[in-house]
Amino acid sequence: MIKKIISYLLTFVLIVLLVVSVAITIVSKTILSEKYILGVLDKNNYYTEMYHEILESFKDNTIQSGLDETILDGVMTDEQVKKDIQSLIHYLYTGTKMSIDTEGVKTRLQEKINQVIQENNKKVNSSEQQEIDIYVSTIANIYSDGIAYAEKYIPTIQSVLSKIQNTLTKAQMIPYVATIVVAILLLTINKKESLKYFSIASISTGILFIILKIVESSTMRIQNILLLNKAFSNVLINAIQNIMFIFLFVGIIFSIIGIILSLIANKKSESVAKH
Amino acid sequence: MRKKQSKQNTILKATISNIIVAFVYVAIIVAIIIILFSSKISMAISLINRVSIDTSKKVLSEVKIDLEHNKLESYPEYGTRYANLIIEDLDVNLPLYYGDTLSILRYGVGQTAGGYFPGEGGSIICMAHNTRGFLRKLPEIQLGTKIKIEAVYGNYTYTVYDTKVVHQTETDAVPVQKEKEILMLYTCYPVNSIGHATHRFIAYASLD
Repeated sequence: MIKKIISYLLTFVLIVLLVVSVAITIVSKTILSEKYILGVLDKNNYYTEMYHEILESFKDNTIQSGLDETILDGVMTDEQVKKDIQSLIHYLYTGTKMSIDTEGVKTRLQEKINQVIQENNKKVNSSEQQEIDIYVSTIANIYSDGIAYAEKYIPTIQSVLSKIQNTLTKAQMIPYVATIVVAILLLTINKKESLKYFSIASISTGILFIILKIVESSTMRIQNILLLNKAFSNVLINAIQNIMFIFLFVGIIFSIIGIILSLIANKKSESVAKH
Repeated sequence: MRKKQSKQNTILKATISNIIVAFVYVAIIVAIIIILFSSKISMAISLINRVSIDTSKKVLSEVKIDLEHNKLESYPEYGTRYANLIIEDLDVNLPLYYGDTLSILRYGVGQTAGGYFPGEGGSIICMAHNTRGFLRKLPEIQLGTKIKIEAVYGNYTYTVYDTKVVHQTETDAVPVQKEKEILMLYTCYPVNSIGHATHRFIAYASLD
């Protein structure tokens, strides 16, 4: 009887440890993985979308500047946008120096404005030069905001992300090792019925992940998230939906494995009883 | 054969009982999670739903005015075109949009959401860029010039009685009030500048 109670208690602990282990693995292989994030950005055409988003903001601000929209030709390219976004992501995950070509945008725009001034034989006084400088800075700020949203907060986000990564790398071994220890304990205490308890733990873990997906679908309107801009929102929606799908998939696999283990365990105990 | 079937039944029954036990564990864990983290979970759900906007819902499209109380019965959706602004003397005929974001101003005249609508008896604050095809000629406007607003719910004519050039920070130059219907139409100044224009040219017009 005591053996059974201990076994049931250990099964409970095993379920909790399995849930934690799987959740940590999924998070570290998705949100905390640079490769995964770059993949999501690529899949959602984020770089091109952002290029157009930034270009539209450039145009919004150029129309009141007295300059033609053609002034923006060649000020930035979609390749440069892609390179700068990737550099930002790389910085967020590794801490290595990031380079956003804001100065390049400034220089190229200034050169093009100077060209227009020369072509029109226009003389620019100091107050007009000041107005041009404000316009150039506005365009440069739009570019850096388009790439990094809020550049000044990026180092803070990087340090938080780095802390989470470090903690998780160190801590993720704990639930893995604990899961193995509890499984060995269960095996030692109740060798005969251990398979049955493993099957119960596996089914419970699977059901919990399936429930997580059901709760997400029924209470959250993920598909309608609108944050910062359409391109960013699409990436966010796809990333969340993808992670939730992984949880559902893992949940189904655990449940199936659990049921198979249960069938084997019961078949085994039936044979033992017969003998 | 019967023995085999009964063996299979026993295995199946035992498996079902294992699944039931698994559900009991799930119920216990869910209960613990609810007890410990219910407030945090509901906060996370509401936070996600707060940034979740259903754009598929139709927003009212018909705009009507209650003439008795000088108030719109229904308002146009932000960012939609609801009128045309016409200054015949300057050869201006532009679409008028409700809203004043830079993306709206690329297409015509924007009306700030802080003021009133034509017919409501208050300040109507409108703006457009000073480029060709927009309000480049506004600084040439003369006192007495007529400005027409042909809205989906009625036509309104205003007469210019004053003009002013102010710095962009002088927001007092376009006061919001509801004592008299005044159209305040402005654009960046000077019109031939390059870069960020720091001044605004404002034309004040009262309802005829």
